[in-house]
Amino acid sequence: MYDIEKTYKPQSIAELLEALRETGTEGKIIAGGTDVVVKLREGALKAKALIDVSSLKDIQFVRESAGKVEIGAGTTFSDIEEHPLFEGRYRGLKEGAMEVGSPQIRNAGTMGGNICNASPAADIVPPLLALNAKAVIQSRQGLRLQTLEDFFLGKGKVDLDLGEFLYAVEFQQMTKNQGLGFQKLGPRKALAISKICTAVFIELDRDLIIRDIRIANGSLGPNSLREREVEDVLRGEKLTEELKEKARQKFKEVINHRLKGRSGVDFKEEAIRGVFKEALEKSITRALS
Amino acid sequence: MKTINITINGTQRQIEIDENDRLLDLIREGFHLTGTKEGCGEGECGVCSVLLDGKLVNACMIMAFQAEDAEVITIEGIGENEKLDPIQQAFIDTGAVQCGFCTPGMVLSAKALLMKNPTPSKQEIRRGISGNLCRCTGYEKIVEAVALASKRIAKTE
Repeated sequence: MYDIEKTYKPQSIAELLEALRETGTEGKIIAGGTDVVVKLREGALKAKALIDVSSLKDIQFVRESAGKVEIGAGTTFSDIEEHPLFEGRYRGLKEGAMEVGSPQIRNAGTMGGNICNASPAADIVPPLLALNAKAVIQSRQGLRLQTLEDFFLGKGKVDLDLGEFLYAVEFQQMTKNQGLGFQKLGPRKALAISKICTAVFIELDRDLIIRDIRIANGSLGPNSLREREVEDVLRGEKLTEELKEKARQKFKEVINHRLKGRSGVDFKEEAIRGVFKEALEKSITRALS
Repeated sequence: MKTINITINGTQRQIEIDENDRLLDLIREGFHLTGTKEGCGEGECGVCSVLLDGKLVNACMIMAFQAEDAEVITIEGIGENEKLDPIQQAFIDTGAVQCGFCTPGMVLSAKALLMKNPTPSKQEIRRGISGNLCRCTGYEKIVEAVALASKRIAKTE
């Protein structure tokens, strides 16, 4: 069927680094398998060696320290969905995880896999981009940090060199007056690949001035991406219904411009208004609670 | 080829696997447990659902070598001795089985749901079986069956 000759099941980071060194360009990391196995069978991915990290406990964690939240790359969507931290103002992350695939896929699939496969429709990525998350990349040389935004190099490509693996993502802890919202639009409830998903991070002050805002989209480009033109309409302004409408209009124009000539552009430029509206309202509610 | 240890339906086994095999291949062809079906082979239909270390997964998307030292429960491992699991009995009693192809996967999804949430709402049941396709029943009878099983299990405990 395919030509895997060797398999590894590292139980520590040191063993994983050793397996990466040993296999070089012929090795491929597999976690939940929900993308890798399908790609292997389709012939879209060739590997002589598979390195399984699904039982590597060292990359399965959610922790808060020194003003940061860290999520290990091996954390599954079910782990994120069930973690008490991702309630309240962080709930946008949970909403992203809950929208992935099906119970079976959420139990196996990992955040790191979702990132490293760099699918344009990865549901967990827009909330992480909206949180301005950084990728924590490990190799024998140690750790290096890269903004998640720059970690994506195009459809299916990420900034991982030979011998490196994604260890975790980290982002600033959220404080009072900040909130994260997420909304997805897909053709059916379970197992739908996102048509559009949007995450919004907002920081408001007491007079409803938008101190900061970050908006990220999935499925509207080669990778998930930040929507800075829309952010600029909102940042520093007072939150009013007129301003929200202005931002929705801007979003529509941005999408129209980006997807011009593609199928579904009429639908998407209209749909984004509604999807963005929902995500924004959720972020506002959470920031004010 | 390599030899792995795996616990299948409560029995610890040592078995030789091909590195290219999926867990589904190992279950059906290595252990000859054919209650676990192959449908789409890409995680859309859920007929290959099994419990891996207590978690519901699609056996078509996990490689056999990944299940080394793990505990796998298939439909054959549900229920005790010759006695059906209350979920299986509820499927029969409500008429939730038509062609039967989706049934093993549905029962395992229901099992995973009820282990975590013994008294799910209709909506929670629908979410719990959302990774399993059924082309016969229209799902209504299946949702009824899971609700009935939940009630019966609560009564006996």
